Amino acid sequence: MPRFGALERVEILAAVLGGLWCGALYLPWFAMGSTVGDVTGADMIDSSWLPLVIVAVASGLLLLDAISIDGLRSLPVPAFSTFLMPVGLFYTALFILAGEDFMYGAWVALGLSAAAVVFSAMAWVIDRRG
Amino acid sequence: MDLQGISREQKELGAAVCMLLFIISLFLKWQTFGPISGSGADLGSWWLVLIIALVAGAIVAADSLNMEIPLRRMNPTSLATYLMSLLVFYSLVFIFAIDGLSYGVWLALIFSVIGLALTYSVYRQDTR
Repeated sequence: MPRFGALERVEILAAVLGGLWCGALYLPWFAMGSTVGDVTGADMIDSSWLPLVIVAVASGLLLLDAISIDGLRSLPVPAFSTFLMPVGLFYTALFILAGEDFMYGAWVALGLSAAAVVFSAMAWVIDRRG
Repeated sequence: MDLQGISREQKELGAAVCMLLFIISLFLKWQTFGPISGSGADLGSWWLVLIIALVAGAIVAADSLNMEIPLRRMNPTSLATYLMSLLVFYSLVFIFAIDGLSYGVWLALIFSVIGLALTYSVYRQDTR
């Protein structure tokens, strides 16, 4: 079993949180009454795949960097992922601030995206310190 | 496009003007669907985007005028660059999502991309 350092542990944590945010997109975010049913984060807008892809790429890169994939050496992964990860938080905040009758999925997504941003930023800081 | 001939202050002022034009474009037609039309300010949380554009524009305008910025320690141009990239994301999300796109959304995309390019160019200059 490989032994992970502080950077790798934080990267894996951020990647898992980002991955869970992608899953939380499909939880019910808003209650729309019995006729329409609940609306998930992915139902909010047809282009919900765009933040999904961005956060999935950020999480994937962090995970690959943590398990030391050599091809990624030329890319500053923690910095790049810290740039991409807040897109999930922005998307979640955009619809939470616009909506009402929230369901648990919206809060789960908000918590996961905020935590993913914090941990990817921590990975970036650790990486910069060397 | 060669941005090397433009001074740092000119780039920052250009980016600030782009943010102002982006804000104006929020109130233009983004969607026309028969008799119905919608603007970029129809989403309930449009004010979040307004605040982001105002903050990003204010940072680059203040920096170009050599005003004291409280966030000097964390490189204000990097923050402005990041905020502008969120505006590009906002425009793209709507471009990919809505039918009957109108001129307002394209203007928003153009101004956010130009603002981002100018600020990123300043950021690259600073970090070199």
